[in-house]
Amino acid sequence: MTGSSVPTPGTPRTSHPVRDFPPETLCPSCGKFVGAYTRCPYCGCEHKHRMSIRFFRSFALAVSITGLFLIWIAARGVKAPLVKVKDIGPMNSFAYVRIEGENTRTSAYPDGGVGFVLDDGTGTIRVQAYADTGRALAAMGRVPGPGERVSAEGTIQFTGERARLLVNVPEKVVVTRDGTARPGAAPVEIAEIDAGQKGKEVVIMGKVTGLSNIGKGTKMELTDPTGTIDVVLWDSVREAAAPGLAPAAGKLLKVRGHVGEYRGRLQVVPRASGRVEETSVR
Amino acid sequence: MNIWLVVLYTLLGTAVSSLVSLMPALHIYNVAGIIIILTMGTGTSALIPMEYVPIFMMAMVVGWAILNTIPALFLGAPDESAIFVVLPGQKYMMQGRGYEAAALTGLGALAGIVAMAVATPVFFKALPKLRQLTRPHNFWIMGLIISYMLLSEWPKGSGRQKTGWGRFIDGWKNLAAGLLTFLLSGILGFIVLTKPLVPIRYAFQNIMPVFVGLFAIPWVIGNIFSRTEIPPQYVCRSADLPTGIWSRGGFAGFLGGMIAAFLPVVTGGIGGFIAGHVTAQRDDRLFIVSQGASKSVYYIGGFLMAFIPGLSRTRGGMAWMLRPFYQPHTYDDYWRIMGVIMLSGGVSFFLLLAYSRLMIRIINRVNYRALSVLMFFLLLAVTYAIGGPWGLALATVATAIGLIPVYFHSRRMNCMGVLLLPITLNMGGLGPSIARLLRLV
Repeated sequence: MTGSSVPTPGTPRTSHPVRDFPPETLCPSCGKFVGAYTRCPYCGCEHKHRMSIRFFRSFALAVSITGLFLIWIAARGVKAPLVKVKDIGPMNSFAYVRIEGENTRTSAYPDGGVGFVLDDGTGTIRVQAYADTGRALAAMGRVPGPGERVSAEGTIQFTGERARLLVNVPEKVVVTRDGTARPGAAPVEIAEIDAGQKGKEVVIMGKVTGLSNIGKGTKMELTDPTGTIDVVLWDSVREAAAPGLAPAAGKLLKVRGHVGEYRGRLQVVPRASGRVEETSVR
Repeated sequence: MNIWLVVLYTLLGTAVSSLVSLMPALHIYNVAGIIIILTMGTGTSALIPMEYVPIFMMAMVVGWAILNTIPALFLGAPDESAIFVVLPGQKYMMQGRGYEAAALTGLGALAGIVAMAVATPVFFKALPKLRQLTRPHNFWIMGLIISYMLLSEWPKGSGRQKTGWGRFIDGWKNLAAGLLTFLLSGILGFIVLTKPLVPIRYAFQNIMPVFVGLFAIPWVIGNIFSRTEIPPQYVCRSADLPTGIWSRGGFAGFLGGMIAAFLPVVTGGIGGFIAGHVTAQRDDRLFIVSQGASKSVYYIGGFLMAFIPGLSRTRGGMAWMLRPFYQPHTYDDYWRIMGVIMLSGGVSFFLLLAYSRLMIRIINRVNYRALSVLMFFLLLAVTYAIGGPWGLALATVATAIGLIPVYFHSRRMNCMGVLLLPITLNMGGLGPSIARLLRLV
């Protein structure tokens, strides 16, 4: 029994009989006429203690929209935490963090992507920017050179035992170019250079006592009466920092570059703004 | 590697997943996340030797893919990939044929596993090339899938409203609810993936509170307030399934599952839905078999991608969770894991039949409302343990979004906007611009 009736052919239909029954006599689940029953004989649902679907609808709409708005406001205010490389483990995969350290190596890829390795004193991590972000970094002058201090925000990704920081937003790579030595600054003795000067620019003078090619640059061993240090001259800056220089063992060089560290050894790395020149003055 | 230990951890993983599968709304990935935190929190596997962890995890995935049908059918609590099983499945339930529906789904899952084993040469030869070929085009492929998913939910409504506008609103209400669900879940996903709010110590689970809210809690709430009684069920000795329907359903499901397993972010529900349209399914039996196959190929095949040498593909929650700890490289790894899949699949199928019989016996004796309340608090506890207060806040908002399709009768699949939208935008290089627009960076 549904409470509906078949209209006589030819008779205009003026009302629907089901709709004429009081709502409390219709099953709230299947809509059939149940009269005074508290359990629908057709679908078996109970009529008492029912939770209003309208309530859940309103709840769902109100909480989802308001809640999402509040989550957005909160997320805007959240700062990426500064973490140390040694503290990063597989559980931190997909964390959005900030890492500060010194760039020890920069790589550029044919598709425009950029990668560099940050050393924060506790370990090293590869920072990577895919093609679009890499091109944007280059356009904004934010591709760090070796030895420069960098703050990078991104997502940690772990593959096997290797972690990397994936940068998606170019503005979140900040290269700090402070600690620059004055062009006319007096040279310091090599023995005076220590780990505390990492990231700072120094001027040194000494004799080339060793020379080797290292892929995209030249490594020179520079010796003065107080000690020896490696000077790394990248091909990418050679034109700007050492125009016309032909390094050879025995030559006396004056080098203005930033102090860096590679595999536990301190080194001086001239940037494009640095200088490597032959000198005869001791 | 000791063969007996391989068998032991396969059976152990299947047993664990069989218990998890009986709990409505508890997802195997959540449980796997907890197991990873407990066993490998220190970086070394404490409970299970590291080399056996992938075997244990794969067995869990296989068991889950097959046995998850039980709560989906008998308790009405499907996960996202099983949503489409429920519609014809519930018809079977109301006819007292729930056991048969479970068996059909299990047979579909077996068809999917057999198809994956048979397709191994294709996996080795074609998938790495296919990946290279599709990689630059993923953005628009994903856009097409999203468009198809949204556009194929055409206006509904009873057409009983008195005015034209009334009928228009009635018809488009569900569609608007679906679009709203997709948009809201997409924005939530974008926020969570751009600025994770979960503590960084468990960051690898940062999407978990959102998934719990979108998919698990709305169903638990539904179970708590539902008063439906299950009619008596008949345990049949044979299934109404000709070989032709089984193979057609298995093929369609394999196709759908592979679409989901191969393409980024696409889930078994979406893959099965597309494959269903592609193969023009009309028969309920074919539909149930194909969905069983699609679900198993999506879950198992997605994880299996990580073991295919030369493919370098990470698909599915389990592969992402395991990737930081383990990466397979050799053909031996692949064949071993394929053996694990076959063994676990066979055992799970018999468990499916046994558990279905058990469920039919106890279904009207166990207080599932009380169990659902228990599950509700368990989900909250797990979410708090992993995500802290922010995890609970995210789960609350996600729950509200997940309730929209339930109470406005649109597709729950739209909740997958949580991953589809942000990842597609990022693939298209639009992620940073949207992040700036939302002032998240």
